[in-house]
Amino acid sequence: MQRRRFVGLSAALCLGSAPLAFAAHPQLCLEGDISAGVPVCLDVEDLLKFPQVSFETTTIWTEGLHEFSGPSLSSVLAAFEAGPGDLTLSALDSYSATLRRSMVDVLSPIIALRLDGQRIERRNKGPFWLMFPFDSHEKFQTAEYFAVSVWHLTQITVQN
Amino acid sequence: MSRLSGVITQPADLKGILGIRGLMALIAFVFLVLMYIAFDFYQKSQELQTAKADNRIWLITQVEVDYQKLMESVLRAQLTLSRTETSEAFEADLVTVPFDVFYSRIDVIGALLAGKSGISHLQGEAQAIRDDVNDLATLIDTADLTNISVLTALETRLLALHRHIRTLVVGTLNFFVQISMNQRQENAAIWLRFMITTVILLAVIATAMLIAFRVSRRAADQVRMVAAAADTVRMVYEASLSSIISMDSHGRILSFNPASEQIFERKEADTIGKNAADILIPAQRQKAFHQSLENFRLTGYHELLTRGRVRSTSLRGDGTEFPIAMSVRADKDMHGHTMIMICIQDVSDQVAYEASMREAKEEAERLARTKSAFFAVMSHELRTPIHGLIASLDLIEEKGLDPETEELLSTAKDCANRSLMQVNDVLEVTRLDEVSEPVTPFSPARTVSRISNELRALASDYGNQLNLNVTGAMPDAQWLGMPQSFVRVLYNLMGNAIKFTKNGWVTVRLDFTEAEGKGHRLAVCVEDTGSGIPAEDLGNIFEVFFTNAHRSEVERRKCTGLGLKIARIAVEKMGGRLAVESQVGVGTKFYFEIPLEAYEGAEDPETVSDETEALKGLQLRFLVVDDNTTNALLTARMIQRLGFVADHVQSGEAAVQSASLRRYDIIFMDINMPGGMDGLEATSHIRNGTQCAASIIVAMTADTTFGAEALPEETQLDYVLHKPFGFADLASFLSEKARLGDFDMLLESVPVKEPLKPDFQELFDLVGPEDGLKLLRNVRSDIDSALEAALTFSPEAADLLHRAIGSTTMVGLLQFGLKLQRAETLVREDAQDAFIDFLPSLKAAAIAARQKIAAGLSDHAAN
Repeated sequence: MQRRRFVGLSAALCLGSAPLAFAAHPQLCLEGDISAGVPVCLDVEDLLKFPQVSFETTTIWTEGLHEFSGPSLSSVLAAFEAGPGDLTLSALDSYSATLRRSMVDVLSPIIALRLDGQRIERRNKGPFWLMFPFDSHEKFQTAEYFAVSVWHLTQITVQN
Repeated sequence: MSRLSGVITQPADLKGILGIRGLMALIAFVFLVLMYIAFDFYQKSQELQTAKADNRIWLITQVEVDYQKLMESVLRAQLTLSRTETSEAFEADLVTVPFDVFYSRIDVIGALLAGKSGISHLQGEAQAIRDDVNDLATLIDTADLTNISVLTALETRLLALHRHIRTLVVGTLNFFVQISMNQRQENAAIWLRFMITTVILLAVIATAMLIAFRVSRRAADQVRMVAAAADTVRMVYEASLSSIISMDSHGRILSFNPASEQIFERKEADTIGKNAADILIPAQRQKAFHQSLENFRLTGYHELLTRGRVRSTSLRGDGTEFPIAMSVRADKDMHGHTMIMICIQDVSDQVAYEASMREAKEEAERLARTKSAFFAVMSHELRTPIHGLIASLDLIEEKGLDPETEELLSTAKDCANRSLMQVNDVLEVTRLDEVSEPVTPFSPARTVSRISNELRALASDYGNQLNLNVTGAMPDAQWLGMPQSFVRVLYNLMGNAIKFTKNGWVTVRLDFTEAEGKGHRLAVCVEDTGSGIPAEDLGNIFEVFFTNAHRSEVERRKCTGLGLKIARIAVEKMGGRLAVESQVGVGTKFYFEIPLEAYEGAEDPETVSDETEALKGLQLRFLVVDDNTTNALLTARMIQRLGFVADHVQSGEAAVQSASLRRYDIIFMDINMPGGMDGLEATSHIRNGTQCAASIIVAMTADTTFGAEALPEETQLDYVLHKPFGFADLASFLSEKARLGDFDMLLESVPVKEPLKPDFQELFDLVGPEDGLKLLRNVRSDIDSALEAALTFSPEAADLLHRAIGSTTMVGLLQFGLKLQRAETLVREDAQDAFIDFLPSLKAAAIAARQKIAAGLSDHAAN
């Protein structure tokens, strides 16, 4: 209950500012089947208030082993009382992919905010990067998971 | 029957079982291999998913898209600036966002290519591009993007970069396409390998199935065959006339066939599972039965298993014991349990038959023994009257007889002598049949030489020349054989040859040979140049009482008809066969061959010389002379019991006559014979002009002083034997003298016995019940007459007392004998007072002796 209240508060804080794709403070917007009924946009500071999940893994987009951390997607969706539908993920370069809800677990994926402890810059595929712990299980080493590991993430739409 | 089928079914073919097991193992193995291969294939194909490759291609192609977007943004920014010429309307993000996207993309490409080998030119290109892009990043971050010239410079720099990007994209695409192709090829190879392996394994399984099918078919055939065999065994088992019983190693009955039901009078159902010991084995053998089974379980050995038919007994259902024959075998059944098979036959009938046969045989043997005994007794009893007849004929005064009477007298003498010979031979034949001779060392050559010497006189009477021809061994060589039998044979054959040859030759040949595997053998041949035997008679000459009808009356008188029979029996006893060849007018040849064993032992001075050994074969003849009939008869019986022939006479005169009629080897002469010719006189007569001049004469006397040191030479006696003596005394006397070599004879293991017991048992054993009773009565009358004479002081008292002493001591009344001896001494010394004083003691002793005799008489009369 406490978390719900906190999330509700932070969601309300965000309502004041309009969603701007190229704002100085990049934001991640939630749309579709959520309790607010209108899109909710969160910046890095908002997401840092969520419990941070971290893991080490290699990826096909980076060299070597790195530690990624950020809130789990499920916790963010729960905070905004998202419906059970699949998610449409959109990126800065208009890339979009569909994340089936069955692929969303309690601890994975995360909305990675930090890489090796440092904020992820836009120039380095940040600031929001949907990340799976690829090394932890073979099931993540498939095209489907690669396709939904969206970097430059800007928008998550919960389908009805 | 169901139990039996288990029992008699052969275990299934082990090879078949092994084959099926092997096949199942193979199939399981193949299945596991297939599983493994499938899993391996799945894993490899997972690895080969094109996910990464596809994503990489997307990323790479996207580089150009992002480049074009950036270029477009730069151009649009320039256009905006040139049109408005004001900086307010310009958004810096218009360029920086596409640049950051582009930058990220280039960064990703660098990561993609990092660590890959063989693409150093691409990696270099990527690095160059990154360096350029980093420069551009610095420019974008620092320069004033509202300045058109900056944008133009940016555009120029980006244009210059295009060629490199193009090269990188195409090169990287080619590289990843190549990787994908390789992976697809590897994928195909794995697939092919999987297919081939699968096909091979399927083929193996198919082959295995085929083999399994064949094996199962063969197994089915075997089962059918085994079933057929079991059927056959079952039929045999059911139809068998013998009882067939199987049991386990504890004796529990497993099967019981119909014949068993009949033989044991029990139902199969009542026996299965029961212990054989409880229902088939007689109580006294049950313990042994369990014990032997326990041994069998421990050792796996049972003596019956290796034996054939064994006789035993068993119990019927009603508990009666009956004889059986059985054979036993053990085996393991199909479960590996020990099974004991017993085949049993009821042999009650056979046993009964055998018993009756044995009875019949025993009866026949008893009859034969009776017959032999009858012959022995008859011939022995016949001799006494014949001796009397001969003696009487000899006593007839021949002088002054008319020629006709003289002729008749001569014929009577011939007949009497011939009868005696025949009786003696009959006795010999029966003895031969009864007595078996032990193997002892002797020298055949020396034996024949001695017989030749004995027969030389006879031979010269017939004008014959005797020849002895020994080949092959030293004449003195000793061999193990049967000297008595040998002597009998040679004596008869040589005697016959001499008697049936006139003015010719009689040749004896001995040939010692040693044949390979046959040992030593002696071939003997007695050949004469006599009248010969006609061919038609050759087959009959060995028959008893065969006499040649063609022979002259004179020749026939010379033979009893038993000589050849005796010779043949003796040869057969020695292990040979007597054969004959003859030609009328030319001569006759008797020959035989016997086995001999080499005699290894040295000639022991203690053992009797072989010459006396040989003499043993000749019947030693004894003459017993004693005026006391009882003494004479008893002594003669003792000698006969030692295995010799003995005649007895009751006076010196009769002794001289007997000695004149025939040669006695040993004469036992009573010295004191009142009322006639005494022993010394008789000896003197015998030594001068009778056949027994050279015989051994042994004096018998109660006078212990007589001959105590040495016999006076003038007596012409050889030895003295003091009265009274019993059987044991006589036996030891003879054996002692024989062992010292004084007698030319051998006494084979003369039995040493206790003196006669007062109960007269030995006396009766010796002479038989009838003669025993007679003798005892004689002893009693001797005692009575002696006592009567003594009491009346009759002049005959001394002589009668003397006679009574001999009688009483001979039957074992030694104490009484001593009293009588004392009485005789007193009478002879005429010491009347002393005698009267002695009388009560003598009477008392006499009464005791009479009581003993009376008891003996009643005991043995009752028997």
